[in-house]
Amino acid sequence: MPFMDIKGLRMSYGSNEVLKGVDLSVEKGQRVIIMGPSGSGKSTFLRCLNHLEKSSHGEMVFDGRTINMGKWTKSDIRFVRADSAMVFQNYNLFAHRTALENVMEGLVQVKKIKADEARKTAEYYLDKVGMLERNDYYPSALSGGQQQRAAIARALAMNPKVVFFDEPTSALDPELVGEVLNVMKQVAEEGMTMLVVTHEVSFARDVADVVVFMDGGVVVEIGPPEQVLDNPQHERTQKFLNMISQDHGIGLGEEGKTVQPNAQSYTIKAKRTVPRK
Amino acid sequence: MDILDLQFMIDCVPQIFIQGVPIALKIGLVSFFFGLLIGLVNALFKIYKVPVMSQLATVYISFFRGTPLMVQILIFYYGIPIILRAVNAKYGTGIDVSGVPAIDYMYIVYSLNIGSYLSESTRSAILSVPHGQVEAGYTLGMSTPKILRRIIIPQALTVALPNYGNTFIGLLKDTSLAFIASVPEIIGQAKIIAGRTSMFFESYIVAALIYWLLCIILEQVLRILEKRARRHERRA
Repeated sequence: MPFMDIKGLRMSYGSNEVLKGVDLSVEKGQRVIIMGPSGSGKSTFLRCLNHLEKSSHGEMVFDGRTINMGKWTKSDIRFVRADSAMVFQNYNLFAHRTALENVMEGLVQVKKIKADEARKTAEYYLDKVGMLERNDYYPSALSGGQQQRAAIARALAMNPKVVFFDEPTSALDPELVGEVLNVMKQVAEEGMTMLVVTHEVSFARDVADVVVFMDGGVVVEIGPPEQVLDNPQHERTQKFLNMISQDHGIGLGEEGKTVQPNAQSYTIKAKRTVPRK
Repeated sequence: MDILDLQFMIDCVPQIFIQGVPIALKIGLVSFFFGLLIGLVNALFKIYKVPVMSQLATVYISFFRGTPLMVQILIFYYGIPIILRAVNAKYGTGIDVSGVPAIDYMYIVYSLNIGSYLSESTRSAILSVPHGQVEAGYTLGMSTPKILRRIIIPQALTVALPNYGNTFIGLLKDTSLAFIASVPEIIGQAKIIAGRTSMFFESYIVAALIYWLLCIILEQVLRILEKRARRHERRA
């Protein structure tokens, strides 16, 4: 039985139907990468899974519990949020708390772990994402990449069964994307179940078990990365992939300097570092 | 002949200061405290669009910001005893209307007045906290009240602090109107002295200087508080 099994997920903003019946099944330990043009509903899809957005119809089996996604109960919401975590595009660190306090917050306030023990756990995870030496910095004193790594530590520290990544590198300056992707790769290597909305094709190649291509509120194509990314069957997928590979080519940056965004992402094509699930 | 009798001014400082300032501060602090509570509750009513309550909040805010404080004081000072007497007559309750000290009416009217101003500044301060942090709290499994208490209110307070400070300074100066309900605060004391000695100019100047001094002290305290509250913001 899959860890998550979503059937017929629908969601509308007013009269605008954003998700028109999405099905997706996720096995434990699977890395699912969701791609698609903006407005395709991929972020909304992810945000419906932990009830940050209200879906109108659908059914989800989450870790053995069946949830009517048209009518979430309070205990459904608690159940899903207790065993899932999310990493946001804009990091969403608590601005009045240091990196360490950000990671400790959920441990102390939700898991009711004693402060000194929570501190140790928090330091462990901050160390994991390479942020230990900055654990007493406030978010405003950290770069975007550092904030996002701290946010990943905050998510992992809750010991979730699945982590949702909602465009985790889209708000980052190009030179900071690599450090965040590396941390995410490490998380993938350790066997975490991950749903990642991203435009990073090379990352998808490197870690994905399944790539989902969404457009217009439906899943257009789904399959292993070599199929969806290298041999897409649908015209819409082909068009999208062509478009973003152009975007990620060499372009003119600020002040007319030539920038190679995330150069690393084009070197790892051949050697997949994360073993296939 | 001198315009001002300096010796007289120095002599009347103790009476105005020792008797007047504590009353002004009491009215200021008590009503600011209750005003903050009223403001927070109203802000939450309006932000969460609680039916009926948010409309009531709008009317309340509009009335107390749209009528002069002096009028509100007069209405409450003369109105509450009439209402209490009517209640006594109707339900046979034995409330001792004349035994209620005038300052208690002032606590009520100043709290309501300042609460209407603090409602709006609290509301905008709460709305200034990025919603993403609320969502982050939800995904960690935090409840709405916990997110309010741990994430939103601490940050909103920082944003609102300068505004609160100005409101409090304004409030402290506005306590001077309490003399019309015969509360012997700073102006009340000055009037008593002036009436007894006919030294109006001197008495009121001493009163003005005392207000000024209080406000200077308050501004310094606020500056320190703001510095502390903003320590999580990037240092220049």
